[in-house]
Amino acid sequence: MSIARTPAEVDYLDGGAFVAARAARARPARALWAVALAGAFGAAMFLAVTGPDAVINVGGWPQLGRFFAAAVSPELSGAFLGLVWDATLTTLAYATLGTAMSLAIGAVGGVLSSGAWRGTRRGTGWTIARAALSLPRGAHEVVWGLILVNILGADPWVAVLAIGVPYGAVTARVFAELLDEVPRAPHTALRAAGATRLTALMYAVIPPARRDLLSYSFYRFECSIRSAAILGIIGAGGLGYELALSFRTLRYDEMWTLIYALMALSGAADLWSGSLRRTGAGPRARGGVAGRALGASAVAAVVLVVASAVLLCPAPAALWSERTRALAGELAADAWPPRFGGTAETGLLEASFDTVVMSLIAIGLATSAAVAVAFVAGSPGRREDGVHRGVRAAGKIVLLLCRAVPPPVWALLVLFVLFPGPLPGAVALAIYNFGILGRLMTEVVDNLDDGPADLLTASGAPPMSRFLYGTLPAVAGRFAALGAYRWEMAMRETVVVGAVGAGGLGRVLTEQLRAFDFAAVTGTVLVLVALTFMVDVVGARVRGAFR
Amino acid sequence: MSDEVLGLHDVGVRFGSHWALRHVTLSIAVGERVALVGPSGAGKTTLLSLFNGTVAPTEGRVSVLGEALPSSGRRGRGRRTRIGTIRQGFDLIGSLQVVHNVNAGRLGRWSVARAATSLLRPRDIDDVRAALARTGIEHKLYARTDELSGGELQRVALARVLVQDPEVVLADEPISNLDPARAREIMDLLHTLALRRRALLVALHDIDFARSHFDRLVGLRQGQIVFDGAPNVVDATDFDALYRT
Repeated sequence: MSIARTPAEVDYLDGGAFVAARAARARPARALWAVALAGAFGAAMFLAVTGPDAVINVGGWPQLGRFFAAAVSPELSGAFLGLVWDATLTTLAYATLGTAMSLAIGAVGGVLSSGAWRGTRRGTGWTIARAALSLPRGAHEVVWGLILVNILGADPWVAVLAIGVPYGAVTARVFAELLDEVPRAPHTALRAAGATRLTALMYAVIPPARRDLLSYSFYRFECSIRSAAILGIIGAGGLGYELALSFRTLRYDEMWTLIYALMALSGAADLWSGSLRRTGAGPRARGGVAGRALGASAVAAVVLVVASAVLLCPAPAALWSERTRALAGELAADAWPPRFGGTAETGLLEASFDTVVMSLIAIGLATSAAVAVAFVAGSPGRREDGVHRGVRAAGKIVLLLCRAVPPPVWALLVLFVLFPGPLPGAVALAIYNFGILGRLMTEVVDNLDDGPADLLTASGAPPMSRFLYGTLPAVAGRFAALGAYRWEMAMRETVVVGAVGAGGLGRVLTEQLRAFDFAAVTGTVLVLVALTFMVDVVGARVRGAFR
Repeated sequence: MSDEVLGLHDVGVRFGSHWALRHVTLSIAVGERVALVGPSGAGKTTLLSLFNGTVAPTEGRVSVLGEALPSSGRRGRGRRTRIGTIRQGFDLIGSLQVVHNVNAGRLGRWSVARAATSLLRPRDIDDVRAALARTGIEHKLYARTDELSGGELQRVALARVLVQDPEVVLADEPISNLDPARAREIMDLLHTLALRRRALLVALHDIDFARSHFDRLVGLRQGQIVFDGAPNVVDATDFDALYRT
């Protein structure tokens, strides 16, 4: 399997250079891709809403209304706030340790697979290493969590590993690409002068890439917080767990307290990484404000990691105990060879089809809504009046809410008003991905160079023509890249909403796990990984077309 | 003056606490070719930006083609269509093909529908081709703009202005990225552009070109006009005063 892609996460962090480097490649027609994708989305939508069964559950609307009404009256009793505080710390601790692990894996893996380290040789070993790195990121953190629970039991390591290993694989990949973007001449010069591989790397390759490496690390931290919340729902504890618990007893006021805590956590991580990116983006990256901000952040990061380790105290011995080894051996024996069976009610093929349909609907809805929000809430040009600022602030809060609430919770809420099937899962994923995409796309519009569009206005172009020639072409490539990247993520996330009964492969997987049928679990996971890679390949084509 | 096309009357522009221009009065007539010279930071770009409406004066009066600025809405748009600008950074759209960037010069006259359909199937190709031929890069018609070199970008920006066919051309350092031979070609082209009763206002660093290609030199230093006259009136000591630190 060859997956030639530049992760859009990289594009998101520092667009221009990466895109420009590959601009010389021939491009297939954009219009063709646009029509094909719109057609696929339309077909998926049609399949999901037509059929013998009713789609909308009219009776559920009052229930949903009561949920949203509770937003203004969150539970604020002292005892409950204490519980929320503990849960917040737990989620933060899992996210921190997961990030720390993924960065450790990413740093080692990234350096070892970077061009500067391995020279120009690309032997079989390298190919195998690349494939091994791409496997963990094929399945969602929750899948790893559900499998690890069977080996480690209720151990803090489950969530840490579930976040750390797949994220570590992605991070290694991205780090390697960031290091490969650095011009090689200084490195070659140092090597020629007799520097060791490691010294040459530390002096000539890492410093220029430092800002991008740092930005990406923070981006991973934001993702880890969301992941930790989702993992909480499947039993790791923390805010996700409490949220699911309050939901089960329909305590909406409690749910909102927890949701506000999640929003605060996500928002704080956003602000932290955002401020660091802004100060680090200036020409004087070393010393001054940027240097102090970096130093303070580094200290804070170390304190966070130590505090998290103290709070969760994952015992290294648990990873290699008698029991763990025995269970891992058993599991491996049960899990191989894989059986591609599905469940009694749902075949693997049907579930795969549902999953693809779900991902298409989710990303189609999320992308269109996010594009609209980006143009409304973003600030192209000079319109910065009170009304626009209000719209902007409201938009940001809605987006934060959408991405702070874990998708399974959205799915359960959507199930109030939609009957089970692929659609509620897709809508839940659409809401969640809208929160993420909306933020990333607004950032793209905010960082847009207004020069070309202003020149069009200066030569008499009407506003709509200015938009068509000046704004749209400038963002189309980035938007397509972000959409394609989130499509792959949505594909993986179908498992998460499937787990609460929204259909597709996730549901199949949940039932197989419940029945301890690990040979079938392996089969389903492999299908899921294959589907994710398929989306990855199509996504790479789409990115190429719109670049 | 009845044939004035560009006018500044005691104009000042302030950015924050810094005055980019102060007490500037200038009048340019139909068919005049004016070179704006002066060190970096003298306010040349700001002065040009006043005329295409991208910068508003803090004080004083700006008039363009017989109208006082600012005039907004459809009327302002109609006027802006008659002013062509070549900016220092070119401000072309990298992800579009050259043909669309040149056609962007026509957006002021095109309806939105026409502009939209042209993105799918380029319109008025022959005019675009002719404009690119005049600037010497006809073969780049369908190239992606972000794949061009600095000099090529400059030619695309110029071709856009040719297609726009404005009555006033404002150019900010149009030859800063070109070798001497190419620079002369572009200056010649700008020079002939101004023949048909067009006014030309060009910010320049190169004093030799300013002398050889323009009827009038305006020296700008620290936001104020230091000299203003025909090339034979302005002498070496004036230039020395301009660039003295």
